[in-house]
Amino acid sequence: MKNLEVSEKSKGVLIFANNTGYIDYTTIAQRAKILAEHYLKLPVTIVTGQDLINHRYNIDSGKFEAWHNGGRYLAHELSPYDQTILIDGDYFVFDDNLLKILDVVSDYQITKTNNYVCSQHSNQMGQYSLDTLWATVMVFNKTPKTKMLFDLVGAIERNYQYYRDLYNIEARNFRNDYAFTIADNIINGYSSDSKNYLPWPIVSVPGPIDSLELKGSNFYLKTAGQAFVLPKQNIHLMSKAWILSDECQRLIEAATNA
Amino acid sequence: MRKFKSQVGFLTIAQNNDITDYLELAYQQALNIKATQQQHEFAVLVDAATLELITDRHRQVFDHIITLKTDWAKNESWKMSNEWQVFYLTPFKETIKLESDLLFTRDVGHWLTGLRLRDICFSLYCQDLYERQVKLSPYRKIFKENNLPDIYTGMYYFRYSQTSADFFRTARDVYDNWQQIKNHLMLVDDLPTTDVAFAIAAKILGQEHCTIPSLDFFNFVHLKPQILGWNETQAVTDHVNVEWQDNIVRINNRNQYYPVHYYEKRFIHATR
Repeated sequence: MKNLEVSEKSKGVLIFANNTGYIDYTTIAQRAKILAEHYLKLPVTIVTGQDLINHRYNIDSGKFEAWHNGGRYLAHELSPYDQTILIDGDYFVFDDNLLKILDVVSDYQITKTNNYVCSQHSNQMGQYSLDTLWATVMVFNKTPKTKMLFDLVGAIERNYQYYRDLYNIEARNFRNDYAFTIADNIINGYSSDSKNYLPWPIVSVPGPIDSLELKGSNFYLKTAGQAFVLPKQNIHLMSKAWILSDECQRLIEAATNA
Repeated sequence: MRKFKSQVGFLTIAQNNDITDYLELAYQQALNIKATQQQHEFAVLVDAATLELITDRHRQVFDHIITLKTDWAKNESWKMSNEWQVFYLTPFKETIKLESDLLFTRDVGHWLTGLRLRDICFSLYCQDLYERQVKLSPYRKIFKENNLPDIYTGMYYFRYSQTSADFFRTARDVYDNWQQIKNHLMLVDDLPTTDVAFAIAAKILGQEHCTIPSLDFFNFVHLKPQILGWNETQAVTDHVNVEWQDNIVRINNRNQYYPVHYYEKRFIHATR
């Protein structure tokens, strides 16, 4: 029986999106928002306006381009929800599994394992470094520990070169994945705690996409020289060009009208 | 009937060679055990040459100094052939035998409750810096090729018992008959390492008598480079950050809660 004396916790999804001169991240986030609203039945908030100057390798153009990925540490402060599902704009939700995490999360849960569908990848931040956690998806409650985590991510972002040296990180550009990995390590007493990790891996398509279709309960994915049949599930699509394509729009319409 | 000095204690062998001052490692280990363990009696087993090097500084820390009566490793540069003698020379009824390059970061007295389920107990894997199990490490091709139990002798437990007596007598026979035994094995060295000799003894007696697979806390962190996924020439002290905070050692930004088998002999002086 529901206890009417206890107010329901507010729940929602938060997506960060900052346009660059090359990529329309707000449109990408809008597309992720449609899917998240449809499958999770939760409100979605898009945060924009962060301007950390950074660069990333664009897998579609093959060039390094501007990237405004800073300010993720503000999610704790900016989220209007008691319980937040924080996702990257290129993480497309196709089921309601993340709702289960809202029932069990204590402080936060972040992605521990990222499975690439079509290539092997190192999961370490560097040859002599820790395994990467993935900020692509995380779920958090607004607790003191979570606030410390996000504050620490902010400190790491502001002092990234120091932490990069300390943790033997090979990549020169700031990545939220690394900042959360370091913060999680520190906040857990220079150790790890499995209760802070999502119980399943995320699935990523790391390269350009030729086509991605949803037929019944399976995805049919074609990339250059490869093809895959994947069970319908949440999926991390790194090709921003494909997400901005008409084909992606049709996939979203097909999924949400099914 | 054997007479023991104490019920429980730690024992290491310190036989210096041209490269390594094992007596100094044992001294550092004894200090570490006094600082971290509630039950902290410490015995060191030395040969006649190393005994000459013992000073008052050592005597203040070592509770028992025992001299080998016969040195089976007299002509070895890497002196490992005396390991079987620990059973006959230990002053403790229950012994935790350690290699001298191993340090504790917390009290492990509670481990005895589990260890006492066997008369003699070896761990079946080691760990890397991140508490990940390492089984059949790149250094252990001989174990895989010869189907030997993947036991580690860097730290093990035994008590005065018939099982232990049988085990160490068998181990002695392995050392004693190595020239014949090695003809039946693949990838063997001229002389047996302690791990290999004891693995053969465990195989002969039945590893179920000297291991407890579910006793996963009885373990240590091994800092050999290939166990960490590095090249053999890459030393921990050259490549990652090592910090001490009281008795905890933090390596590559990870606190180590399990005993650290540092392997690189300059580790203590390079990091403290």
